[in-house]
Amino acid sequence: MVFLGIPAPLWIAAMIGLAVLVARATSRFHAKPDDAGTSWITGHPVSIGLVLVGLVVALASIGISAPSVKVIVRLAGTAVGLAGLAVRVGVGLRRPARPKPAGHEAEARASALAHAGAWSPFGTLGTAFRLVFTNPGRGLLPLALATLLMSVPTAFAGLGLRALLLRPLPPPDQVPPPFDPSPFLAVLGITVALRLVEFFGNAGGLVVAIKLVRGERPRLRDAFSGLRFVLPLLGFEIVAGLASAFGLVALVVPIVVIRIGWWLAVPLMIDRNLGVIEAVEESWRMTRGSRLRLFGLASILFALQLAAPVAQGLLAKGPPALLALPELLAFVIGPVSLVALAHVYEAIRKTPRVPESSDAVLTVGYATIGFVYGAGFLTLVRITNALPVTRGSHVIMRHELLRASALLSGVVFLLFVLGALLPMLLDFLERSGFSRFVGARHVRSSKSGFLTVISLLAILGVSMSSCALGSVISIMGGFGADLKRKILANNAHIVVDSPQPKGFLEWQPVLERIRKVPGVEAATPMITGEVMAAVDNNTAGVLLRGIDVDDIGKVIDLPQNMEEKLGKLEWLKEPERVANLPWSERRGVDSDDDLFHPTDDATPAPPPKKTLPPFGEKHEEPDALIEKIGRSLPPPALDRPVYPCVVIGREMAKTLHLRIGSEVSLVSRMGELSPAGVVPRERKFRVAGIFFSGMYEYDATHAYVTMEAARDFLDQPDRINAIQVKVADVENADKFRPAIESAVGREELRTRDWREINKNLFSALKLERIATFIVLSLAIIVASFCILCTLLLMVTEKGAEIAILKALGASDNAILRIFMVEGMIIGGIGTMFGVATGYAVCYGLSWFGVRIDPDVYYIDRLPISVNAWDFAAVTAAALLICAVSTLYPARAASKLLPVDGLRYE
Amino acid sequence: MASLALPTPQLSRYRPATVSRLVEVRALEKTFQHMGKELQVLRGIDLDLDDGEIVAVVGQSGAGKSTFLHIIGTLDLPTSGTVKISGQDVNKLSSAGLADLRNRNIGFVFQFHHLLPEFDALENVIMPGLIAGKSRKELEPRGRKLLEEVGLAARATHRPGELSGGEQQRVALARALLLQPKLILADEPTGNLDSGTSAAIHDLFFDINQRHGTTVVIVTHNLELARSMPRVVTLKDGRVHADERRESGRKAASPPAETLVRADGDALKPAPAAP
Repeated sequence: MVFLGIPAPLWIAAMIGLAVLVARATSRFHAKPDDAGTSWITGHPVSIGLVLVGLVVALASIGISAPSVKVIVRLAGTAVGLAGLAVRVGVGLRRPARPKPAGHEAEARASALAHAGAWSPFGTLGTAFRLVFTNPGRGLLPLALATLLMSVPTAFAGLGLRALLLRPLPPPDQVPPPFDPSPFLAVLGITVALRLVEFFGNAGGLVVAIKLVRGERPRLRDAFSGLRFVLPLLGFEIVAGLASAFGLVALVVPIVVIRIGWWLAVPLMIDRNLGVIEAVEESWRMTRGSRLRLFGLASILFALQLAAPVAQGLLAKGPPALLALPELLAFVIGPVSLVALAHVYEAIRKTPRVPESSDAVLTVGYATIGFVYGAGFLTLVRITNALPVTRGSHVIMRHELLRASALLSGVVFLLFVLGALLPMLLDFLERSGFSRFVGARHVRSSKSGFLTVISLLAILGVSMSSCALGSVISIMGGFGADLKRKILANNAHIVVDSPQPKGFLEWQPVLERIRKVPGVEAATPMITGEVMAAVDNNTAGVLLRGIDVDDIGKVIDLPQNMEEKLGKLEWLKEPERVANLPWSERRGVDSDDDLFHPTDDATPAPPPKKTLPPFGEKHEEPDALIEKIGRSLPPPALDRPVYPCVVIGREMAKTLHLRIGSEVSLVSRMGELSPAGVVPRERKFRVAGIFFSGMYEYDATHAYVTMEAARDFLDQPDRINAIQVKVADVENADKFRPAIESAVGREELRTRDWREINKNLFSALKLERIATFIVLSLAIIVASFCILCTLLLMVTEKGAEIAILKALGASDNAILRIFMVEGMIIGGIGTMFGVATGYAVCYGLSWFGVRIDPDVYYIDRLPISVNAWDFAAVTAAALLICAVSTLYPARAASKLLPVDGLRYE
Repeated sequence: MASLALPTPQLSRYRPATVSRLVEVRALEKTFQHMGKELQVLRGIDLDLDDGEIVAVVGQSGAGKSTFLHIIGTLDLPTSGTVKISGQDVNKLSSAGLADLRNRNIGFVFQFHHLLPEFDALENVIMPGLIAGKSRKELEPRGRKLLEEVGLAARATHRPGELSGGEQQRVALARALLLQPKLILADEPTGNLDSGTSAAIHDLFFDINQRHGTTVVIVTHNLELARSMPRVVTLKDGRVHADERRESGRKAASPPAETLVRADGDALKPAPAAP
């Protein structure tokens, strides 16, 4: 089911994800200290209200007739109701507030907040103007020089592009030379190199600006003092550039936040000589609490900087004197921007470090970003759903990028939701019993706030390996499913044949009896023989199959596999038609896998038609051999003899260079007497159609002719080789086998189902899957060593705590359980993230597919079959391995003597 | 400090109603293995502790005071000899049984506070109850009351790292009292604190002992404190060197059955017919 262009499962997943985010955000608003927790039934009024409103709205949608409006209303109602439930859950998980810092801490905080309010975007601009232009002698000249240096690359780029675009055009009657990108690339390259000059100017300018803001007197040479910062600034540009690139692909919102947060990195590098990474981290810390204002200031500066080129564009047609105005504007805005940044840097730097703000704000911010991702994901899904699907090697990059973005944003959204779910799960664990309480709290608390680095590595290890395991299993499953699908499409479910190559007699009554067996949907006879095909100097082995053209489609998918525009199956019965096909129908498949159309522009037109012959004879069209390089041979004999027809596979057509209507000789082992003695029997056939089954083997060797033609060619007037049967339930085809076998009633014939015929193939696939599972489980085992190490470290670290807990009366078993809980939490988090990500990625990929080269792999998309049971097996294996790895450390912990822990204080 | 007004202590299921001897130690010996050599710390101790006693254990370093305390507290098993708590021989209990005994009947206060650093004060206080399997709903009001009684109601959500030494010790004391133990064992509880705070803590111990008849054993180096105790046991070289009882100093508590207080801490009135 699809609503508003988005499939229903994704709607459900997205709404659940959003509900989790809402619950998380709600849970961070602190309960009052004596709030004993409202009961689950009489809930928080807001949540009950939301649920009721949601129900009402969803029910009201029944009364709406317009289908799209109905869907929207229903979805909205469901979303509101879910939000209500989420709020209820969040309220239930609230905790009492942390204590407010008392005494001098409170004063410091208050003054910090007051001070932090000391700057505003417009105020900063005003200050910057004032500093630059009142008393211009102080700073204006060095700032102007710095601005000049900073504008070098853009100026060069502008000039270069202008020069290139205004090149004189070649005279119109000449063939335009192919587009040569190298001058543009040269301009681009030089511009990038000139950015080093820009960094030089930027650094110098900031040195001047910072001095100005601090009331010191900048010198002219300060503008040129930025040399040693050029490389660090380059490093910063690279880091920021990578972050931007990632952010653009995964939706724009966080990249703006990141760039604003990193805005103070450059002043920090210049003022305090920090390295790139240190500066970025410090900038992030410093800007906390001010980012909104910084965004405002940055937007204003950005708009101002746009003013110059915009003005230039507007005034381009005006009087030349006015053209100086935009240049002047640039030299005003440049210095002001530098000083504004310096001012903000100083203001924030002097603010005493504000203690951690209420994490309710952070959580709400987190939830909002997650929300944006969710909305973006849904939008992208809707867009990509409407994109056309291309097959073969035809790949439209833009579409593939859109699909990749949809997948990426979906995965990011999932990670956001899981990240929001995590603390709630831990909260839940903390409330459910002593061991779980202590274990969860141990995992949670550490110096860095949430998890120690080692446990993070353990989690990462487990999640990456379980993700890999799940994905690989899915891909292997996909290949297996693809194979099965193709086999089933091209073979009957049950085949009744004789082990003898000569076939069997008296098949009509057998066929009738089979057709009467309940469950049999269709049965058709087939004659088979191994022959050779020959065209000019090319030969190929062929498995010839004589079929009943009308019936065959009921048993195998041959009619559906016929290539469009490359003949038809029915033409097997119309050899005259095929012999006299018009020129335009005689298409083939060339080695580059494109439809080879004789009227391609690259090939010259066929020779002009001859005049009509008299007496109304059939108009013969020349049968020329057209080659790609455009050479055309004169047409051979005028009349085209009628040969029986054959339908061949795509690969065979490629190998033998056959087109519709071409002649091919089939050679059989059967000898026939000729004046020269016994010679192999050879007959000419004409290609009536080309099919594509997807299996190389079939496309290269199978060829279909009518029963009559096969009988004649293979000299089997009254024998057939097999009866192909289709049954109602393909998965359980073997259940029909006994009934069919008894209907056949002949000892010398064997009845086999498709699984049995392809037994080797499927058992090989199964073995491969098991082997892969085991091998990748080793990866999880390795990752679980990390958990083992983490736990051992925790046990060693917490020796004193274990002693206290035992002193308080915790049994050995309880301590064992605590550490097992810790290990399982780490392993569980890793597994959850890994399996969820793996599932989401595979689901997305199975939906729009990874393109691979069809020439090499014979399929154009990676087949992925997402099976929930496979992922469940992966989850179970991962959790089991993690559980085992926690046993040793947990046991070691439980055996610690209290006195040992208490003794060494 | 507010009075520690707690409802009547429950009778421990390990204690036959007739015996009032809480701890019985006979011929207690304890030997440690250290670097391949044997180190005999306790060389035969005979001691009895009654309900409601408050005892100081003094001696030089290495005399075995802490070891003795640990063994009485079932944190360690004797190499030979018997220890009976409320008539129950500790050697006959399994590890889980010992843990259970400890949980319900014994409260510890150590020198180095030994609060769990990842949990806030209230959570630390209710920890023994959580170990016993009680629910938070049941435990939190009681925990809060205990914190109030030791004067730390405002600090319930602070972590040990945010509390001063004296405050941490008071939290440890509140924790020791959560399940109304019959015995409180304190190993140099004020060793790390200044004299003012130490005096306050000592007062608390006496208070507890007076109001609830909880037996208190304090190992201490503080001679002043020792002198104020009605009974002082001196250990030397792993044996009981002296066991002095005196009339001076603060009085120990009277048997608990007569000390009934109302939960709100108001003036002591005899309760209606005792169970």
